[in-house]
Amino acid sequence: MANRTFFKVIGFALMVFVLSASAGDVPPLEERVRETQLDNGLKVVVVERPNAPVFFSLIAFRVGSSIEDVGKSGLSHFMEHMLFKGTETIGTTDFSKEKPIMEEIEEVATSMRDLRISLEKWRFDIFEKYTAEIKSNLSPEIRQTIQQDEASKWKAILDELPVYFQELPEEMKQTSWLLKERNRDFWKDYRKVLGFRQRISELITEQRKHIQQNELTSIYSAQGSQMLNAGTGYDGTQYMLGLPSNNLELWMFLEADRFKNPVFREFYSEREVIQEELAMYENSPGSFLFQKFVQAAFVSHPYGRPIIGWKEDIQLALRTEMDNHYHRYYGPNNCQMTIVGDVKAEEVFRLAEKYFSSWEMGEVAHEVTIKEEPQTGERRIEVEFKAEPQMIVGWHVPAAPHPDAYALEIMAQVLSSGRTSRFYKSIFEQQQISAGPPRASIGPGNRYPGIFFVFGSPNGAHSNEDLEAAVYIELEKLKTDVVAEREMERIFNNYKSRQLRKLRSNQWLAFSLSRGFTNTGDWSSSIREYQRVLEVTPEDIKRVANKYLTKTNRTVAYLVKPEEHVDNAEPQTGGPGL
Amino acid sequence: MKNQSYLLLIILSTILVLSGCSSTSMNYRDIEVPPVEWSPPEFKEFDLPNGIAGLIVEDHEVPLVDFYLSFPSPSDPADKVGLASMTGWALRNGGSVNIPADSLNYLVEFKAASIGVSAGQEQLQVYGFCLKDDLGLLLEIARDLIDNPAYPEDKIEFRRSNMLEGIRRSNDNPRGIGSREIYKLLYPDHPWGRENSTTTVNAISRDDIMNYHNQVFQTEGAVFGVVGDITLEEAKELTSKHFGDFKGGDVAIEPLPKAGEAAKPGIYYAYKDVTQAYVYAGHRTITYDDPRSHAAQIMNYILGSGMQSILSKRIRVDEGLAYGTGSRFSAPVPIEGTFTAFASTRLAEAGRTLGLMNEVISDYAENGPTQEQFDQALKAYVNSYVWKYESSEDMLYRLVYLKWRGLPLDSPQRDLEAYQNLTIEDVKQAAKELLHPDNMIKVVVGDKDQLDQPLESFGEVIELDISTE
Repeated sequence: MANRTFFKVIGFALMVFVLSASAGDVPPLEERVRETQLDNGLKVVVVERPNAPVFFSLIAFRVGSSIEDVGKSGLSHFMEHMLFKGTETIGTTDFSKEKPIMEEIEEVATSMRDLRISLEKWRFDIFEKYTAEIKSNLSPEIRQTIQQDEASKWKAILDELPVYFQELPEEMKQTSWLLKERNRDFWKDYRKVLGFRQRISELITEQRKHIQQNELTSIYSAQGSQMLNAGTGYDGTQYMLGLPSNNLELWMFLEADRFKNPVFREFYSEREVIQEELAMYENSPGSFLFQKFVQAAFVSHPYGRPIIGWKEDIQLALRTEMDNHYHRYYGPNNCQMTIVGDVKAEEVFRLAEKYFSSWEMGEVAHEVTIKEEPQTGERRIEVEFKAEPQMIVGWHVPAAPHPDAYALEIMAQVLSSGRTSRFYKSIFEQQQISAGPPRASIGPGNRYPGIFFVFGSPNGAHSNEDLEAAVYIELEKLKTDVVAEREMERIFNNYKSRQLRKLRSNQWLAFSLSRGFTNTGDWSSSIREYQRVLEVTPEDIKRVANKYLTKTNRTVAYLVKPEEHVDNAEPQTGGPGL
Repeated sequence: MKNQSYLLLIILSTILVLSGCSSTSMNYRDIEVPPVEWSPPEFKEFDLPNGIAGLIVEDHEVPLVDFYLSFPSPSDPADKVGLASMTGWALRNGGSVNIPADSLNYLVEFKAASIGVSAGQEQLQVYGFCLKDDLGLLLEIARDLIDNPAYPEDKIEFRRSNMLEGIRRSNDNPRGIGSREIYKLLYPDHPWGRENSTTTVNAISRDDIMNYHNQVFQTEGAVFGVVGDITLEEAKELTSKHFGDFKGGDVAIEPLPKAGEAAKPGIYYAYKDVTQAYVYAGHRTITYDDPRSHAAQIMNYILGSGMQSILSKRIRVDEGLAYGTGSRFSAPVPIEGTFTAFASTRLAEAGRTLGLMNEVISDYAENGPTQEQFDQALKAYVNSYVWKYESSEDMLYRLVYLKWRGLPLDSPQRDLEAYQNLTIEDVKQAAKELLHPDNMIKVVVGDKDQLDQPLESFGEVIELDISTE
């Protein structure tokens, strides 16, 4: 093969990451990375890449959803939303006027939360049902007003309450009678809930007189920003932004202020936004199935929880809890700043010192010590959803730097990377069982032991069961036969070329160095991992396939259509779940 | 051969002017934003011996090369929607009479390269990404596929069954339903509003595919673009070698037909058993050459693009009604574009959201932006222009598009100048003339029985049939 030599060269050069064919070797990536650490622990990592007058920045914390306490799930993701709300000087015309209002909001919200907890969810759900019912019967005139003013909505519902109660449907009268057990005065509690909501709305309206909404976003976008966003994972959180490079000092100033002096204003309206975000995921069959799958696979480890949090936890979240979460973990000693682009490292270090050195240290984000209990038998769940079937099957596997993790990574590629991969050829193309080629991957995080999983959809002529069986046949082959040298070579070639492709992008470089930090605390781990993957042998793959892909270690989730409810049908016996 | 290095100097001085600091108290405005000097990547034009237009952006950072070969293509006949897509797939996945598909896949993937064919409404594109030394091989494969396509029956049938499966699954995600249905209503009986169906996919024969193939592949209007670790001389040599003698067909390609009337304004509803309502509202707009098209983009940016937009502020930030909300305004080259606003919200607030969306658009159409909103938007537009030159790959891709469209290659610069010359009055006028809040097609996907107010209160409700049978 004539080009093989060329590839070997690339293989070597890739360790050094960059090869310029005409201009000779450029220094390897690890030599291009410049780093420093401030006295408060903040790590600053820079790659100078002056191709265009822009830079891409990531501020990453080793704080993800896995670290959250029970009952406080979703705070890390919620924080992501709140850190766009401004500081004591950004996003406000006068913070001193906002502060007392925020304190009062917090008092009301806390009382409402306490009441809500004491009422228990089922009673509260009945309140919500009443509210919806009353709201849908409001007159068009009232509706016109409440479009303008949220507080008046709660007032209108309060006003309608007595009338409404007179005409209560029979079914609801019965529930309302039920609500009187334990000597509760249902209507009194309901009025209290509505009153709290009305009061919070009024206070927010008052506070908004002093708020400059979206000021941070407006400043950055006016400067020509790109990708102003943030992402929360199980293992860490990344705040990202691209800017023209002449804005470096402005960025330092604004980000230092953003992370040193955040103000969590508009917390309670944002709580509603987050519930819509959650609903969006739940209305997508694929993401809904995946969530239910990890929930079944992880019983003790927090990888089983949704990153966005449990719905009930979000509904009960308080701004003061966000304050605590922030003060506990969002310090410089859990943080790495990564900048790639048209900047000078020395200048970045100087400005980081100038603006970030007064940032006070927080608690060191602890490792999640809880381990997933070894599985004692196959777990199998059905997830009902009105959509065509899909399925996921997965096995618990170790995380890097465990030596098996790298073989599993390559195994996933043997199975599902490209048109010549095994799933594509066999299951999708030859047997024509699936709607698209099934995908093999490892998730949902990288810092702790995760799941090697296969995600697929059967086509109309086949069932989830057919697809599952076909997947197992391919996996069995991995246990009995070693992967051919040529197949390995193809996988490695593609692995290398993908890495090479990433080097053309500031964003990819920054993400790679930042992820190394969130996974292990050290950016260079991403480079080491890359090298370890290239050392995987066919024997390794056979060994890990036998070691992990067992029935005992397996979790299977099917997306199925709910059974149609037929009137007067006899109760089913022996159906699913019995 | 033309260079383009004058372009960015204009942009960067703009950054300086617009970001100039005004000194008040100790705040972010005190931070100096200095000017930078920089020249954008150069591009060069060349012609292949047979007249195909060539474009190159050299970038020697890593030993990789990407190429695109674009051909003008006709839109699908109404009774054979899916023809272009099926042809593109079967060309790439069916191999040639010389190289069977399997061998082609093994060869390409062993080399860590990729080759693909994408076919849409007006353009068919053959593209490839590879290590620099493999470009000749990829071009040879591309030429072979074009000259000697195999289109094996079994591959065509395989693709057909996959497309039918896609149709069967097309109502699984509620978001997709709304955006699909509003397009059908905005462009009834026009290629942009057509969706493939079981009937149209089943109607496509191998002969249709061959005819389409023979018509599309011709030198007239074709554009070749390459970017990466390659010199102009190398590009000329390789393209001459592999495509210099290519001739292809000579039947003129039908341009995209003009768009007829949109469906009548009103409330269109599709039932879906989900916990949110997906609300789309929109109408048709203008074409790119309309003198108001630049003002229209700024106008829409202020209304519905990004977190600082009015729709996001009112629906998301103030009221907490939606996570996703915004609007889009398109002014395409060939036919009139669309304005569409979007929100996904809980069912129990969907009526309020739809009412609020209407109100925000009406109010904005009447009053336009504030001076502050206008200044912010213009700065954002002009200062972010530099990103168009951040990546050589993106730059080449855009140049290929402009060339294929027959637009001047300095269009981005002309656009920039047009933006810089806008006044708030232009944007107010665009809002007044180009938004039609009283004549919008509204699509609601969800369960209307669970809404906070009857959908009928917004007007006559027309039920959409979204069944895939």
